[in-house]
Amino acid sequence: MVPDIALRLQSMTRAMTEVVIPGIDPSQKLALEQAHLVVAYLALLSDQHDKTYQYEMAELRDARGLLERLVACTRGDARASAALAESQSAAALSIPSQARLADLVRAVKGAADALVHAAYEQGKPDVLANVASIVMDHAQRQIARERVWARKAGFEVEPEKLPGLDEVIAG
Amino acid sequence: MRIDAKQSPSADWIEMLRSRFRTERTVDVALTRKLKLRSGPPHRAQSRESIVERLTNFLSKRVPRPFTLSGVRSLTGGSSKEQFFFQVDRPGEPAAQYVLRLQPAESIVETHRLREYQVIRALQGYIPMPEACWVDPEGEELGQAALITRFCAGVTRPPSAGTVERPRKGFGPKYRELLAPQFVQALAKLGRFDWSGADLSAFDPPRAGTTEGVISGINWWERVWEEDSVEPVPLMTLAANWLRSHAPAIDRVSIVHGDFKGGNFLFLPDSGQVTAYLDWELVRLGDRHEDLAFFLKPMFGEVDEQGTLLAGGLMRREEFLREYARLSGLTVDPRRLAYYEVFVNWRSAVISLATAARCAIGQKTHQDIRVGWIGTAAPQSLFELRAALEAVI
Repeated sequence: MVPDIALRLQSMTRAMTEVVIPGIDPSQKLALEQAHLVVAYLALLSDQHDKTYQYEMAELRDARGLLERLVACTRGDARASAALAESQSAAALSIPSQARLADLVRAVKGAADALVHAAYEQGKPDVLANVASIVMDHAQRQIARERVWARKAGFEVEPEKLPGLDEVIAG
Repeated sequence: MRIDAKQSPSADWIEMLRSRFRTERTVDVALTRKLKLRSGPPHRAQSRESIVERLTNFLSKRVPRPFTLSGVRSLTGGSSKEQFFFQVDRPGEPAAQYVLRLQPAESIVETHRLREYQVIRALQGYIPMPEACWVDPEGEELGQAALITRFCAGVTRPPSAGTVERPRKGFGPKYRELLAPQFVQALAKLGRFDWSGADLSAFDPPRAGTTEGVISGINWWERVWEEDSVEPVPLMTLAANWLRSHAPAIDRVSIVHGDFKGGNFLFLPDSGQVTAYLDWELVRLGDRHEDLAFFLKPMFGEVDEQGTLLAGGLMRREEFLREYARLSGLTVDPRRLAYYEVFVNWRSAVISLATAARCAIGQKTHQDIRVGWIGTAAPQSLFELRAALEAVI
């Protein structure tokens, strides 16, 4: 994902601290205070944004442990049994960190890219035709995802014709 | 955000890129300078006091004394250069107003100020241009590479139009009618301009009838991709290889603006008269079809009241091409146009997908946040690149 969330947060923080805040009239105390708060929020988001999924997973596992222990000591009820059953498979998942995932995506794309380079170096027409078809096919899906992801940036000619985000990131 | 080895380029890596991607001398100078600065500290904009002091010294060597420098203030607009307005007063003369363009450590497009300066001077009086007054190509006097032009009156968008974060609000019917004929006329004149007598020593003119100018352009942007990209994209590799293996010879070598679109010219809001064509930093000597293809990019289009996509937000594609051919007397070759539709979209994707992220990662500009925003245009550039490729492979 380019630019990633961390980079956007860094750029926003820099704009606030080096341009926006110095540009605010010092007599506008409320505006200054709130601008500094925005910087503080951005710092918090920089710390948290790529760990929210793991955080929720840790919460889920811990909450399940709590509920299991409560059921064991109270004999539980139907609602508790349903919640335990529903959360069982999700809580058992091991989710890699977002940074690790991004590294994996980059590594896989890099390996694919190297194969495209190699195919052009070898220059076999039938192989090149297949490679082009495969790359174009993948690009169609990847670009659709990226366009939907960035639709609110305003560069789309007809954003209303794009599918929903859930649709393009569904497994 | 991943800090990779490209963020601290070694001398060997820089030399490898220079040797692998041979391009024009001044393009090489600008890209090499960028890489050498990359491992340095984040860019810090000069203070107003520093600008005033340097400008005063600079002007003292060029403007007859006595003079007074006043009104120095930063200007918004432009995604790559720091821009300042200033005024020079001399006794008995009308006040002269100028725009100073300063190059940050890295920018969304890395180019050489001398190219911009020379081409603006070459086209002075031929189409509406700002007057290029002085250049400090290496930043020896102004602290950063710089170009100074006369200030031109005008706006880039109608008063009611979009902003950087909401770009898709355009000219509207009134201004389309006023601006479209001037725009296509200027582009047609540019295509047929005889540059042979102009001082364009910062350029390496390609020979007509060969592909050398095309390959030089591919080398330029493939080098930028190698220098700036933060992750591999097989579609970009496919496109670069296709462009290299299908390069058409240039039939007539023209001045190519490289970024000829709405937002890059000034006009008077009352009359709609164009006062200056701006942003010449991507200029090169090449194939006129490059400018045509760039103007036709859907991303810069606007859907009119009848639901038709207008090229550049100004006119229908067929009308634009017909008018261009009529006014320029030059052919519009559909095969070349299709080739350059791949080229300009590939180049746009290099800029928005690679350079935008790279210079924000290093905090090398005065407006990382704006440059980063351009990065969000990358999906649309890739979409248009894929569509252009699909039409030809």
